[in-house]
Amino acid sequence: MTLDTSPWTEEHLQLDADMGELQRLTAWLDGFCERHKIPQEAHYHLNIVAEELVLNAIKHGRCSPSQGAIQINLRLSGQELDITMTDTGIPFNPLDAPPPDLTGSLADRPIGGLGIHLVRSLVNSVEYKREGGENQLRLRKYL
Amino acid sequence: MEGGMEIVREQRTNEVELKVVGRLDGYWANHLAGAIREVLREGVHNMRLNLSHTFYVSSAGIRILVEAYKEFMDVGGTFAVVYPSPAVKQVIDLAGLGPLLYGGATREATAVAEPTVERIETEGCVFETYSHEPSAALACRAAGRPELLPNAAFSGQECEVLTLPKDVFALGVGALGEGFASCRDRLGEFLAVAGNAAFQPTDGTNYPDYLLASGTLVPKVTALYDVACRGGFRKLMRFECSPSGPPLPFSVVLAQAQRHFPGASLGVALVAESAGLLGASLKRPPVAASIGRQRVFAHPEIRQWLSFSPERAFTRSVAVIAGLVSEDPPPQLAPMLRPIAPDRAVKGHFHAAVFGYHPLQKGRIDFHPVIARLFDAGGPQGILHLLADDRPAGGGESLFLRGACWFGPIDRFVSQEETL
Repeated sequence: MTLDTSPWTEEHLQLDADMGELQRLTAWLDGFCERHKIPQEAHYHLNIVAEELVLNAIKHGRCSPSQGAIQINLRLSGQELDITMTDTGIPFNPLDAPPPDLTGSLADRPIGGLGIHLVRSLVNSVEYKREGGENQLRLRKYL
Repeated sequence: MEGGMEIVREQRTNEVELKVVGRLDGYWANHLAGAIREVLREGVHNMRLNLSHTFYVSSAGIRILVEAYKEFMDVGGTFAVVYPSPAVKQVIDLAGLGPLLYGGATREATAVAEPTVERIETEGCVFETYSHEPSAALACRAAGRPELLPNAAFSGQECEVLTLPKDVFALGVGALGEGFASCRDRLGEFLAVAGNAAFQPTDGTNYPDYLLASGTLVPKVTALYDVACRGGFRKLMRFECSPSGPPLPFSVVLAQAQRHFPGASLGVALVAESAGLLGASLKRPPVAASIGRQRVFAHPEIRQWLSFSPERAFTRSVAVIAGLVSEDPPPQLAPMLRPIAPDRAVKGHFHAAVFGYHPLQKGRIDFHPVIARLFDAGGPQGILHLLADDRPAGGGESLFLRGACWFGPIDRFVSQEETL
């Protein structure tokens, strides 16, 4: 067995379920990526993934109470970034969402479902569990 | 600009380019949606969205692009994303939208040019008139006793139940439903066009109730009085004001229509972008009260009876309007008509159903789908009897920016005892 001794770092953010929090999320992610010299493309993907998940919880989660309803944890270990997000919203497993129809004419294509598709496309793994009345998502991205 | 968005507009020949600088995320997406909607409101139907300086896009931004694409297609226009930055292109391609959004699609099926019958420019506005249904005829029937309105003296005896299929337009005072007993507390202005019927309830609910024809379901209205036309329209007239000019008075639109059929009484239906509607609606059902004589139009009682603003309302909305206009109305129609503008002898009677803003496709368009799309999108916000306010400081008449007007001569008048 090989023991992983690479240094790691971890940061945490708590958000209200409020659209105004998106800018705070962006600033926090940008700060994290700058401090830890995350490559530009991974930085971009991390932004998209976090926005999609947070926005989904804000818009559709019916989080109660809304204050401090969303928590994000970033853990960087070597070339691996672990993203953990929990929210107090209604049960929602994004892995259950069917893939969007990416064929056919645009005029007939439904708009929903794209955010989850982007999340699944931009990270290497996604795990979901419902525990303690919270949605818990763990995503992994190799840098 | 790192965390925000700026939109730079460039006017080109026949199209507008919006250049988005910054982030197109969930926070800023509505900002772009508003800018695109503003362009559509101006009547511009061709847009390029330059995303060369957009460094971030999420699904919220993609949603705005897809919605814009659909809106421009709906009006027969074009919409294209040009020069996407690598970051934007990656996400658009992941969403499988690249070939469509970069293509600058045009809805060809509805963009086929039809020969214009006539084009004139007058009062700073352009009018284009097409032949619509050249052999169509309109039959008209007026029923009820509008003279009872000033005293709110209607009882169940005058009312009738109207069946309103797609080839009928009708207006008057009534309510959706069958029978005076079930409708008497809700009776207000109603309008039925192309199989869609709506009325302004007077039971305090404020929001219009409406019903769409579907399959074998045909709307029915119990009316105290009404005027209805059945048949088709011979002409379609498109009109549009100059962006820098004043809006178009309703009476000028009607005068342009009358020019095509001198001396005739016309049945008219419009879908138009409003620059302000002048109208009124009942606040109480005008039915006979058990005590005393009512005076609907007397002061100060009028305030309890009518919702009326001396200033125009519903600017930047879309209105579906239907009614009749005549210089010399026949006796059975005369009691239903009023002057349509402060300084004009021409008389008419028009009701309007007001909707949120929806852009109108340019050129020759079909009557039924345009109206169905407005009703399908959530129903009207208000039903008004359009007025001409001829007081010295009065509001004048309703004004429009652009629209489509279907019209034709009324060939036959039938009596109350007959059916259309």
